[in-house]
Amino acid sequence: MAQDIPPEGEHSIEGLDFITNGDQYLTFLLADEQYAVDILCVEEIRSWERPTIIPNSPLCIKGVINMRGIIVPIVDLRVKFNVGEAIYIETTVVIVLTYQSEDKSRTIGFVVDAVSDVLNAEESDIKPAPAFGGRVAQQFIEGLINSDTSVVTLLNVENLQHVEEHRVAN
Amino acid sequence: MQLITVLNQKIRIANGKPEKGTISLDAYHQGGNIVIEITDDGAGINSEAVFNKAVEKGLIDSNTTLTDAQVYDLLFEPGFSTVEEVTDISGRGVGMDVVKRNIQSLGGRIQVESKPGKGSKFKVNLPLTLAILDGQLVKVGTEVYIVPLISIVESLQIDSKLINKVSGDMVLYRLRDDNVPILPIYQLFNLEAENRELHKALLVVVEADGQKVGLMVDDLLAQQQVVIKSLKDNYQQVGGISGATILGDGSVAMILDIPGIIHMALENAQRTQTQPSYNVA
Repeated sequence: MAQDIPPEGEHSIEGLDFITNGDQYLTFLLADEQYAVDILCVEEIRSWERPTIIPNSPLCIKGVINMRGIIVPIVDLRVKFNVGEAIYIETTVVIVLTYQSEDKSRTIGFVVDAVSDVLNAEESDIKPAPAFGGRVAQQFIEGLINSDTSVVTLLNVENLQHVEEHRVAN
Repeated sequence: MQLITVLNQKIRIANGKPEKGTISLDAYHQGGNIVIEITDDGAGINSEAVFNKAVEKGLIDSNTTLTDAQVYDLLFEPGFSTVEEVTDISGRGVGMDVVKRNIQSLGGRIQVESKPGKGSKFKVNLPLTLAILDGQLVKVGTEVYIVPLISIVESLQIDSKLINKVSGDMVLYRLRDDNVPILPIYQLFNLEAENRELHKALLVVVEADGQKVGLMVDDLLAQQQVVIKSLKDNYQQVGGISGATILGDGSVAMILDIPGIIHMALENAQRTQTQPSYNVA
């Protein structure tokens, strides 16, 4: 059965796999590093717009925006993970993720430098991330996926959505 | 059926009640909720009968002691009914359970109060899902905030002659006979203010819990009715902010929580007061 499925990349239409195995992930860039999230969590991809500031919020939380009547918080992943520079230009993009747990559904937008491809990967492709080093906290990392010669860090959306306790800055 | 009605009437008269029973419906706002009260002047709930039935059904142990309120809560258990005979509209033990679940699914709760011989009251508490507020839009730096109209005492242009500094840090504004503390919103919210100079700013005097405070803002914008959206759905409760709204241009504006802001300012003031100063080597 495995031989019937053409290997990734060998199609007449570039970059598109019609026959897929496993799960799909949306990859994006933070500086020159590749990250990915489960594509089923992706609600929408928006261009950057200045959000309304939430007073005394943590630095990575830029504020909230109006998304079709819903108030959606915007978190800058470049600040949260301390990767690259948090600049806001035409190509700056917000990936809106919705995570559904049994009792609650939460929609949060994440600012990233650019959106990349849709990646197909099976569970076996996801390797555990080394526990040492790195600025991204362990709880956010689901694992690593090898893509050609580079590595894509798969993020845990549920933990990403966890909003830290709001504190008064003073 | 008629015989039962006559019998009930006789019992009512004997208890000093009018022949006809009254069921009253009352609804009002309380906090961020709507409260609906259904009161009757009937026989009240027989706690003993309820308790015994619950023991009979194995819901509780006969040795348990329960408060009246706890006994009434048993009424909402699925399958619970104290009647001996089922009628076409009641007695199956299904109704109350469904009522409670429906209310809870709306984020509300139901409470029962009862006085045997006097009557019962069912109190339903439902959170407001669509709350509307009359607000005054104000500009602080680049941000627009909404001040609930109901808390505004007055708005004025600051006259620098009426500003007094007291005990080092506190800035007071003389408003006729009152000395109103001035609260710079940009400071409380750690914002980039366009104008940090008092004499160029506007003062929105608000009041909560008998305490008057002057909010320092850069500009007064329109007054309008806004729909309050909770920040708790996708984020969490924020100090000094009671909710958010979507303005006509599609942008989001924060609605100020006046009692909350006054509380925050008090806390901040107390914090700086109790902090001892150290000599820096």
